Amino acid sequence: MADNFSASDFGNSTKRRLPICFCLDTSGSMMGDPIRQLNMGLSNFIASIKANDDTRSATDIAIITFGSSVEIVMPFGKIKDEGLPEISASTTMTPIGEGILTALELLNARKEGYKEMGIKYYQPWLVVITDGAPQGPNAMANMRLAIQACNELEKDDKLVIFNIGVGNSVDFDILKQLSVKREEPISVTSGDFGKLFEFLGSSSSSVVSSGMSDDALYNINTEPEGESVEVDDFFKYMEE
Amino acid sequence: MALEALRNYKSLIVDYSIIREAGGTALFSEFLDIVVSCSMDIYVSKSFKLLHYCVIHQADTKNAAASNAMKDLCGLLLPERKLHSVQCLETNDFVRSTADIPDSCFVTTANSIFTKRILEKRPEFHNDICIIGAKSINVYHGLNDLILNMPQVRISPLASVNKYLDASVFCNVGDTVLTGDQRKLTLTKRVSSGAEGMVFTTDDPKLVAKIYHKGVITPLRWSKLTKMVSMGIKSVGICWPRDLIFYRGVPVGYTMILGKGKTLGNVFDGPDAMMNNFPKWTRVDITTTLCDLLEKYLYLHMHNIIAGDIQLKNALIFSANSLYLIDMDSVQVDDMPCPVGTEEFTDPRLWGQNFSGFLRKLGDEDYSIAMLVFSILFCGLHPYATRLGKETLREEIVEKNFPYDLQNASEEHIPKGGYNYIWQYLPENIRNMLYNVFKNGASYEAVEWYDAVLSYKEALTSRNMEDEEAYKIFPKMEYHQTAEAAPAEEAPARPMFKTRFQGLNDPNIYSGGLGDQNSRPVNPHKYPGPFVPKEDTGFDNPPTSPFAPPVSPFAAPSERPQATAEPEDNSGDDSGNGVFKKFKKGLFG
Repeated sequence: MADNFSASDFGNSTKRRLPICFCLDTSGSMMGDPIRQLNMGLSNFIASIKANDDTRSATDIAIITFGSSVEIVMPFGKIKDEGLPEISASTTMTPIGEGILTALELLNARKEGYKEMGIKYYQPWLVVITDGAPQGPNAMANMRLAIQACNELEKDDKLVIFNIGVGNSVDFDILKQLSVKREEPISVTSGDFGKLFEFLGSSSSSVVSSGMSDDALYNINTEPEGESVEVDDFFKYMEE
Repeated sequence: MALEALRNYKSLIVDYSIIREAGGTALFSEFLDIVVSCSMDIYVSKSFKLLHYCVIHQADTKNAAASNAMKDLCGLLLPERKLHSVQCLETNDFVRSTADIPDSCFVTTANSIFTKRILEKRPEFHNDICIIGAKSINVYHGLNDLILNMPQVRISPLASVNKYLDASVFCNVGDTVLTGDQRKLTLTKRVSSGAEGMVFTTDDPKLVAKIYHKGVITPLRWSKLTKMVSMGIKSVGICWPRDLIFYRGVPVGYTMILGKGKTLGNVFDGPDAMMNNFPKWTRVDITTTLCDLLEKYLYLHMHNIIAGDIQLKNALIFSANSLYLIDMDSVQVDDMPCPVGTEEFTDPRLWGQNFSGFLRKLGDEDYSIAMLVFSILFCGLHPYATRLGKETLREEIVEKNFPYDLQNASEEHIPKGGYNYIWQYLPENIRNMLYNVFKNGASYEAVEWYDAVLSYKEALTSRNMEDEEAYKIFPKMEYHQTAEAAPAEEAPARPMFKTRFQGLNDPNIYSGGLGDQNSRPVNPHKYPGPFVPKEDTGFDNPPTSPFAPPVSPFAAPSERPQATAEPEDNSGDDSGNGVFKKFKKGLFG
């Protein structure tokens, strides 16, 4: 992948980059509404990234699909104005492991590119979305390799993993093993894709514009810190 | 006669804080009386003049007294040759240079930059020092006496109160809120939304309202805002809280002026962003912007404020002459800490600490100021952005892998894109300072950076640079606009009165209108000297700005030309976290 290295793919922004690789399940079970929702969620995600001055040149995206084979639908640095290529679902295979290993290769090559250019970067995100379990020749063996590779990187704080299961047919046991930091995989229905991508978008924006720490990405807690107090009590603190 | 003790001395070493804080008071008149009647010699450091520049450039109405105080002091002492400028800037240097002045006493205030610096830096200091406060005046004998006997500032106990205000009060467009001084304001339009709150325009065209989200107002935050409002800072380019806002009796936010433009981080973001936003800019505009920023931060330092979270997204830029500091509600004021900071801009010595748990020192901010200087001069680049470097930025920072060197011996690790030429074309003193900070871990006071950048700017504006490349944003590179220019560039430029302060190298800088006899001014206007009264400045409209009224350093803010573009963002944290929070609850709560 390093042979495809081209300086123009990196832009000349001085912003610290956040590389995100989507690794998406396009097996047969995703056909119909789920894949439609996925396409819509993705393109909204990209649109919101491009609409925000803070994230436009800081967020760096690649998309990989795994169905009948593993395909690099969009490599890094190639977001086009005309939008995303349409993703379609087809066969019954689910080579998740192979998909993830390809994603890790892409991310690694991108990091090498940053280093070559002298561009600062945040540790990359790997977003895996699946609705099933590994299937196909060597699927389990590859998945085990992928789990091992992900675990090592994540432990060293060199990768942030979003392991996301869609619907009820997910093998959550396997999916869970992808991350050593996330207690449970994120579980959604295909109807939640809109919200899911909104969440990923605002999380990435929090990282690049507010310097949110990677740990916060694993700890999804919305309540304000501390104890709530009523107005009268509030003013008592100020008087003391 | 509170200042009688000063009569015991033959000379006084006067800090600028006396001018800014005591100017206009009976105490200051008494001070002048004593100085004149005892025929005292007054010594000041080079920062005395530089800090005064910072103050007058803020066009803050509350500084009229300081301007007059400076005029009075100079008017009384200069003809008698009793005002002496010691050509030192750094605190320890100044203390050393003045140590042998016989029968002398330093005169300053409790929270002045000078007092804080000597308490932080602990130089050899045996002189007497008179601390003038609103309530008391005390003379200490040397630094040890000062450390032992001056009341110490401790962190506010509110910093550790882990509570937040919870009231079921929400206000939105159309609602009428009440300010702390009981004025009614109606929220008219939402301008932006961020992690902490939303910004609304109001029926008062000069003011916008920041309304916090639920859970954001803590006792520390509210008490800080209350203090900030009471300080009455009204700089044209600092979006300082003007008044508190209540809705149905409940604290909800504060008012401020509306900043205009894009965040610095989105303009100072490499060649494309620079060229597309400001295609006509030269290095003059870069240094103008940087001087303006440094003046603003120094102005805050003079008020016992540490900005804390300095970074490129906490300022908006509309044009080289129109800059706004935003997100001011996080700064450290007196004993109330700044709870935030970034790894990229914060001194690595502070990493890993809980920012709410301690008070930052001026020295802690020196690193952030140096970061700011580098980032602006290098169009957004981080000093530790390194080719072929370490895995993480954190490692580069910790190991001080600064890819530039003083001999320009190796450019292997400098990021591509012409940054090596930016480095080569910088003045030598600035290169040395940056190298010392980022390679050797040295630090410089903010006023030293201001002095260095001001000199750089003057070298540029007086056309002292022989090589035309030195004027280019990216020397020796051919970058061109790739998108349409932002409307900001078309705005009428504010007259650049700041460039008229020539004669910095003139030793006799306090001589009123004669300051620049030896140096050629950049424009045909008569050089008025920094300290002449408004009616004598004779500033005309420069031909470059047909719409702008004359602006003198003493002009009221309302005299500034108003830019007309649509406000873009005033919260600076438009990261969509509001949605994020709401959503997270729905999905995972």
